[in-house]
Amino acid sequence: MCGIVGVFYKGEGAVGPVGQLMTDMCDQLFRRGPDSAGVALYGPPVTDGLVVRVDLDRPDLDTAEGEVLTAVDQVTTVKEAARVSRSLRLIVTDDAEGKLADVIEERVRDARVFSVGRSMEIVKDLGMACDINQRYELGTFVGSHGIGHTRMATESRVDIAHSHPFWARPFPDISVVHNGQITNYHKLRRRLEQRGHRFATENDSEVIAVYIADKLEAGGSLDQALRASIEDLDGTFAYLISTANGVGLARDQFATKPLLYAEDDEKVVLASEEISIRALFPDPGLVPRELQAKEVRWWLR
Amino acid sequence: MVAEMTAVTVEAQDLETREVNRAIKRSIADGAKEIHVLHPAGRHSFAVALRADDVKVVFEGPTGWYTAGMNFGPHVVIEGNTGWGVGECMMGGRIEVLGHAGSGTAASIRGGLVYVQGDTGARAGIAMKGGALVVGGDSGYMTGFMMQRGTIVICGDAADGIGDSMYEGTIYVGGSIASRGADAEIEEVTDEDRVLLKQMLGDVGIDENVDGFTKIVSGRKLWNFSTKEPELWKSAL
Repeated sequence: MCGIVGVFYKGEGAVGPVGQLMTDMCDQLFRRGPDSAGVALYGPPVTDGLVVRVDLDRPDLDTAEGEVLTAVDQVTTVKEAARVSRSLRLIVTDDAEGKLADVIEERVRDARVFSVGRSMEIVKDLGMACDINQRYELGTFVGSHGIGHTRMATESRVDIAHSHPFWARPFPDISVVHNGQITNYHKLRRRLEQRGHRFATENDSEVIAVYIADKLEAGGSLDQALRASIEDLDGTFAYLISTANGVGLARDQFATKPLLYAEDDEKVVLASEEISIRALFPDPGLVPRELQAKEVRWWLR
Repeated sequence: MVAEMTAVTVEAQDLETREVNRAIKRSIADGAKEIHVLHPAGRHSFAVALRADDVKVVFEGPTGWYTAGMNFGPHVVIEGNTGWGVGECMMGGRIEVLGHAGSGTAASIRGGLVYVQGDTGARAGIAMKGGALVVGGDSGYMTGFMMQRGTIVICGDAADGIGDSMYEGTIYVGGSIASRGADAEIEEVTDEDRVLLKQMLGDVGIDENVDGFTKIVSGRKLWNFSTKEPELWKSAL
């Protein structure tokens, strides 16, 4: 059992307080999963560059930060660097043809790249979402959309790297949050690895992100990718996938995991349970609906 | 004075769930006949395990999961959506959802009525052992899964797998049926069925022509295992 949430502001240039909103909505679902929490937030796109979030699992944070900067300098240019707690945020000119994350992780001990994108930033940690909000100063984050997750671990270990959201490495700006279990994970992962993709964790949910990104890269639409996933993913799932300009959701054929969407002219709000939507959006005009078995939905800007 | 005795308001906003439920129980014990709960805000497990007749509990807004479960007697009204498992294991009484309901609506009820004005999610009426479920809108995947007794009426469309592996009981569908589940058979609608439907729908304030309804019952082929019918068992979940 896990809790998943999302928000998407419609229309060109529409933004909202996605950092505060996603962590608040996660906290409403903490009973569904108190192990860890995380968010993928989509801020204003970086012009001429990419934003990178690196997690430093080290006590010597200053040294680790220096090592990351040295490693990145060898393949691209660092334009900005700032660190809050153990999350290092970089603005770089490019991702060295998709190799940037691998370069950092190969050269710096216990450094893990959580996200690369023009606008996407992934922050996750153990504990409650409100604590993560404080620790990483997410309360002021304004953006166009975001997804969040509060986790009860079932298939892989409880640590920060195995927390959600997962980045669809190496594809910029694509992330997933998932509630459920993917039972043909190993088969799917092997198939995607044969196509050249690399996985950062042992978590079954990571495969959804890479699967969808792979379909999008091959020229498929988000709609096609979501529909194909209903057939190709085995197990129980309700998931949210987020791209640079949209969000999509899908539910398995047995409708085992809950997922609601509520929509008005300005926004789409998504959550495992209505309690999470109502706490932040009491407006009775915003009526949540449950996604049906095998149903997919998506919104693009 | 009498009005004060019989009608009570509970503000849920500042109370824990247990405190809300205690306030409801205390009000019933004190003789209240109508209890209004304000700002339920989609929270879980409200108005459960109540045993009382002639009592109405009204939620002025949406409730969360397992609302009004394990009840025997009271009339619960939810003015909004409700989550999963509304009315679970109800022995008797009446639940009205004036919005949509999540999955597992009226799971395992033994008696009473659950009415959902809007749509229900997956597995509404799962393992029903009596009573009635009336859905004003559409019903989700595998409605009436393994039902054992009782009646389900769906005014709208039914999603895939309706009546899958049902033992007994009756399902009526007013709209289209995406697909029937294993061993769910269509039976001819009789005059008695029409009278029953008219009465059940009238009871919840729906005035609808019942001529177009489809009746689904158990084919009873899954009651006993037969080695001569392996295909039947292969397709059953």
